[in-house]
Amino acid sequence: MRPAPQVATPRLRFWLATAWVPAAAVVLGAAVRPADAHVPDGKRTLGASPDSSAVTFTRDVASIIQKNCQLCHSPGGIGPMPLLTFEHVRRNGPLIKQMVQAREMPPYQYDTHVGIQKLQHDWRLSDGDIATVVRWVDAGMPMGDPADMPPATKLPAAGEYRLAAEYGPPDLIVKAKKYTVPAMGQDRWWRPSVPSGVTSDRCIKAIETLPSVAGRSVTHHANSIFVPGNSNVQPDEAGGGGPGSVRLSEYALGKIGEVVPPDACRIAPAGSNVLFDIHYYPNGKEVVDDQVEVGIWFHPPEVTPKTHYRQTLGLYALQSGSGDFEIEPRGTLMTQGFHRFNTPVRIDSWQPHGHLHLVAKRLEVLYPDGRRETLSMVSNWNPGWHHSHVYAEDVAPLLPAGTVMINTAWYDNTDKNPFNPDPDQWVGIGDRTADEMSHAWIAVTQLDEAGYQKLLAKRPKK
Amino acid sequence: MTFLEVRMGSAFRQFAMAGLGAVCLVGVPEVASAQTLPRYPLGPSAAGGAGVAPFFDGWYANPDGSVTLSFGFLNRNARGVVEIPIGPDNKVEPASYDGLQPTHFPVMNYRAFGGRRERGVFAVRVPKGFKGDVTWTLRYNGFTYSVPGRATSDYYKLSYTPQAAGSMMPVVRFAPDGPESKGREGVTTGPLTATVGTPLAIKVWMEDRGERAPIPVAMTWFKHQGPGEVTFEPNTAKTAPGGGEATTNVRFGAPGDYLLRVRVDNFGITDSTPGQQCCWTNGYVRVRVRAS
Repeated sequence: MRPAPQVATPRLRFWLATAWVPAAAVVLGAAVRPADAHVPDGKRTLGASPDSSAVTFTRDVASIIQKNCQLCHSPGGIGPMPLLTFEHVRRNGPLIKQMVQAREMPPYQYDTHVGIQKLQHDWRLSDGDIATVVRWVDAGMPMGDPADMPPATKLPAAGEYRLAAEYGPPDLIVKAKKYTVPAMGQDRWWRPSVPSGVTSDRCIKAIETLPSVAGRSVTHHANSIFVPGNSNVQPDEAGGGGPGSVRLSEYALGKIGEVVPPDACRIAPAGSNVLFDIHYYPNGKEVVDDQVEVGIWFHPPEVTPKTHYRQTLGLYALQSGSGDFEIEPRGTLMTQGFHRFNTPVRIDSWQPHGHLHLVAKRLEVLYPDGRRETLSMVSNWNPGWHHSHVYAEDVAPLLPAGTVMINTAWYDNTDKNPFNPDPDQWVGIGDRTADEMSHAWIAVTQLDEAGYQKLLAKRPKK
Repeated sequence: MTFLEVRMGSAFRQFAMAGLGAVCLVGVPEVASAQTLPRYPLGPSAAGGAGVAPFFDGWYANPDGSVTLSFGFLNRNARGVVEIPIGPDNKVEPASYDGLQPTHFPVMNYRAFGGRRERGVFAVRVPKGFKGDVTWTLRYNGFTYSVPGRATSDYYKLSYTPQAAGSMMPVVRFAPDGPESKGREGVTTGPLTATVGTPLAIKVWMEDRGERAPIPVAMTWFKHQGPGEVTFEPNTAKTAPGGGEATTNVRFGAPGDYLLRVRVDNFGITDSTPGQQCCWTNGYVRVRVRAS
């Protein structure tokens, strides 16, 4: 059920899972998928093989592998084996079939038949592509006519900004101070503050947090916050920047970046510092002078906080009734968190966060008229891949004032959870990877009534 | 069987059918008291009627091959200190490790990701080659919870080395040149003698440690074991940067044998919070209290 089901320890299993990390986005660069290429919502026909003999590697399968697998599964990539040639793919065919059927690969956990399905930078295979791979494997994995083979894809090098393929090099790169991550030991929290280099208030178009190539498997999360220009500022206990601070971005294992809609402004304040909150998890190999950086792309200067609605990135907490939560040994737990919007808003993206015991998360809204709607659901959470699910612009939820957002999380502390390091332990809230968290990062465009009505008018009537 | 069924079993199906305000099932306690209501995790915690959860916080590999196992607790009641004397309701097994665990379980509340756990309140050291678990069991309000201390998972591995900003566990002594501790196992002094109602002064020497500029450290006192109420004046105190000494005056409400714990920490710097499991050191004081 996992990339490395035979691995002896959960930590090693997790490492292997997260070793896929940042090479990530097969939907980026040469393989950008249009925003409307979402997974079709319809009856699934996985495993059906009406005409297996018609499926060949060169004509049908190679392009799927190129677009969706090779970025990681190539020399220097983070996949455990290359998938560049027919022989590579044939040798791993049954495993590939298993992984794509289970929607474990490509690693983008997001339910296909509930909630909003039109996402930007969506890595999921379509049902049709999955069926093609399955039929090909079931048919004995024929190569086909070499003349049908598509040209090789140009793959970006490890350590390059993935969003650069779409936006060019970042307008600004902010580098954290270096830190040497020890080979072993407990989790570390590195929280340096550095000048941002932003000289006038600017609106951000896109952000990508880039761990180093050597450090990507030990960088559990790397949050960043604009703080008023004061190099001595200290983060609070939750990594926040205190009064006057503005969240820049949140990164966790497997995440590529964030994209701000063209009609919104996530502000980069002039004269600010960037306060990093980096959680390192030693993984058996020392990483000397590791340096996390954040690449920022700006909207043109004419886009200002005065001309565009403000977009904010926030941590929305889920907690059980006790104010935090604890999970009994070999037990399960569900928690919920609620947030009421007093003004109209647009939800631009949703990113669940949790550690090794989280197994599922859901985002719902309760409208003022009593209607309740599921916006997004992840029911096979993988702690190795923290995706920011960015809604396509024409479907990003528009919520009237008074709407209540409902975040729900499910935890599994039993031995059925393959990531669980020890089901005999109590698990509680905490900073460490072995402890748990329960929140979602949500990007919200703060509207007023006029802006809400204007955007609503552009939407087709349901 | 689908992947989802393999991973979640029937639990997820139960969850998936649950709606707003759903009641979710958690591990069923061994024995439920007739007086207690079912516990609904999505509801507010009950003021009372719940158990106390022992937590295994992690393990330290010592240079001589021995292993230190660190334990904490979470009082699941919203209000009220719980007292569980050492014995069948509060025991550490094997029995050779029994006796250092707390009997006094206040309701804690730390900010951010600290939560309601009190971490690292005691630790035991097992020799090199030790096989098996060191298990702490607490029984209260009809709920019996056991937790194994074991050095089997790197996820629970803790370390004595400097944290990201250079912090390390401070030094604790009960005499200027006395024995010291730099970790969870702590240093123990006593037994001292005291009389009910009469303050006993206890002085602590503390040193900040770390690969950075010296910062202040703080002491916080807790009743760890004992039959009566204990008050500390002051309960907490902070030193100058680099450390120093501080005194607390302790009053006891009933005669008997007590064990007090002082936690010396440097919380507040970027790499040191309870939720991060760093950086604090325990000290213990045994006190024999006579009736007035």
